[in-house]
Amino acid sequence: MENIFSFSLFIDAFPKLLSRLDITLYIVLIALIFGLLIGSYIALVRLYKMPVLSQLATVYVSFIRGIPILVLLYIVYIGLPVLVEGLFHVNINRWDTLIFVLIAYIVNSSAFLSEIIRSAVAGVEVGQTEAAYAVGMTRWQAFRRIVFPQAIKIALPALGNNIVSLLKDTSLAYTLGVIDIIGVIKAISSNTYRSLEAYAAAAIIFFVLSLLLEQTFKRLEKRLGTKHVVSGQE
Amino acid sequence: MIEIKDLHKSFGEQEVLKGINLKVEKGEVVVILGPSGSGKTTLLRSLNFLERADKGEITIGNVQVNCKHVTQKKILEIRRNTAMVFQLYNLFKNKTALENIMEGLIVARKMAKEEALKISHYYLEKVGLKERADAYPSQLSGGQQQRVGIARALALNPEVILFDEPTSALDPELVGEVLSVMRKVAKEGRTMIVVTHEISFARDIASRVVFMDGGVIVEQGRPEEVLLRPKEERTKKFLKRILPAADYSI
Amino acid sequence: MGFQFDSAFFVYELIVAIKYIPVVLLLSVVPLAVGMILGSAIAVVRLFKVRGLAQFLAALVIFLRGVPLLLQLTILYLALHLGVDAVAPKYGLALSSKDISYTLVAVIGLSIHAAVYLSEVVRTALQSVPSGQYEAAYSVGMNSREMLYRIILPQALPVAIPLLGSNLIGLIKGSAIASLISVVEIVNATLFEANSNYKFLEAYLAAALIYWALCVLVERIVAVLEARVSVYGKGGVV
Repeated sequence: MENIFSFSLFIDAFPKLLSRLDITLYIVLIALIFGLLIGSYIALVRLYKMPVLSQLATVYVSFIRGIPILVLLYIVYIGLPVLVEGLFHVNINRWDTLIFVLIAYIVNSSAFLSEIIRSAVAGVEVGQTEAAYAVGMTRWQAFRRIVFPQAIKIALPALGNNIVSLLKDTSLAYTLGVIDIIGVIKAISSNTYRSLEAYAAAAIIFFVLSLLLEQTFKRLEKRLGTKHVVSGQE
Repeated sequence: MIEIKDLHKSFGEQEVLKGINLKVEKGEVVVILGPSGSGKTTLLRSLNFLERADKGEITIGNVQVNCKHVTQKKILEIRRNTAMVFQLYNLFKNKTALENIMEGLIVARKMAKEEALKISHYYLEKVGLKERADAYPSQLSGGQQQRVGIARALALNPEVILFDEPTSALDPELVGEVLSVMRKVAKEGRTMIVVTHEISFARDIASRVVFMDGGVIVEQGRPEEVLLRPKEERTKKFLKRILPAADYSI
Repeated sequence: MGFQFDSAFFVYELIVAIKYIPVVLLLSVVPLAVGMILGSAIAVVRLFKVRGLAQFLAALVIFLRGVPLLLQLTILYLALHLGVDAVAPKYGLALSSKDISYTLVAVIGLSIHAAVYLSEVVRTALQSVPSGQYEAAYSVGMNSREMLYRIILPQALPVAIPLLGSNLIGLIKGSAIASLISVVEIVNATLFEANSNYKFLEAYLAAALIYWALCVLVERIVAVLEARVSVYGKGGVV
């Protein structure tokens, strides 16, 4: 059994992997914050059907959602320098790899989050906005005080799922050479010539992180009183 | 003939049926009255094995079962001797009005499609919905759905039709159409057990009224006896509470 | 150093990518089918609360949902290799890790991945049918099988179809991860062609375009199926 799975190597892997946890969490956090900002903007463009921009946004969202994150990572890594060079004559080839990784995950999550935001806002009945106008609120007040709080409730379960997916997707960042949890496994295995134990340890770490995230969102949903549509008509 | 002997049923700690004995003759219309939580709906659902009673004996037509050890096959036999009209109609949402009636005939009764079609049209016409045959439940009003529900039960030609508060989910203006269909059915000599709060229906149509409270049958008898001259204190109290509101003569 | 987009090579790579669509389908449709069977079994065990097994499967589902697909595939790949090399000699089997097909490992891994998510889809879909529908089916004398096929599944399907569609899209995109355990699918096939001329951007863009087309196609099919399967749900349409 020992030559299939070494328990001591498994245990030893944890501190080494966890020392790189910050990189993984950093990618998730940055992708989430900027993804929400850009995603909200895309959602508004589409909700208010702004000419041209709305069509562009639709294609952007469809394309990004339709390609594997692995492919997106490489397209950003190779394509962005070419684009910037062509447009601004600036060479960004020497930028840190992590920046390209961050941009790729921001692009990815902006597309997914825009869809969540869009359907959540669209899920709030028109009557709510009308009622807000009727009591004399401005457009911004109506959005901030009436629509947004309701939309958040609708969006929460999907948002939670999405952040868990984002976390799991960061496992691909190593393909560009970022030394995060997965990237460090490559380093370990080149010393010990074995990697199964380290991968198993990584699986446990990701599982625990996902579980923590899920539980946090469940608690949030409970506090905000998000209704889950499950079954029954009574 | 239907016979229920010493029927018991508990949900967890709470005993909902505490030994029910009831006999219903062919062609009788038995109306069960009682406050909510008295066990009347549970009794009805036990007869169709939608709830499995813990103890007791149920005879419906030529099928007799002991609730303690009952096989899946026996349950199916009992169900094929009964039909149920539900409070929330429970029409099959993926079937049209006509198909809802045919479904049981073709699948459970193994009837030929031609014949099932003929019977289904006949009963749909009987409940006054001939022209709505191809409508899906979502396109029908509550009253229409319930009439289809009754037609579905009638078509099966069971030993007994069980009505579980068939009008209590309906808007007041739709209650009349369903009650009038039920009257028609009763006059044809079908055996019916009806749980309802419609006192007027009990008074005019029932051959017997059964009053339940706290999981037991408190008293039973002809409608004028139970409704006008109740013997038991609990019955009097119940009637006093609901009669002034419900008993406007037709 | 100016960049020149080689559109001829891009078109060439598009054709390469199209040729590998069957591999992507093998890595997505087969797991979808296998996952549907396994997932339904898991869902039924959990819905009927089969003692012991239900809890075990629930824990397994929660665990696997938290582990990235990359890790599932890599671990499966490594474990199979180490396991075969350790076990085969003991039993005198003429089998070594070199005989294990990468593609087979990927199909198995993606199937397990799919089963986990599809079990949730089946559960959601079955639970979306109100209990009154089960009762009505029983009340007209149907047995469980008749009820399932004639009443419950037709009603659960409209709920399941969009979810199945998004799972298929997830599998199509997930199949790209199989390239990391040496399966030759669209990503690796197009990269291989670019190895000699370093025109990787053309290669990746061609691959992206084909993935996108596949995903849009699935979305369209789902939309058509959805419209067809839920006629009865729309009030007022006679």
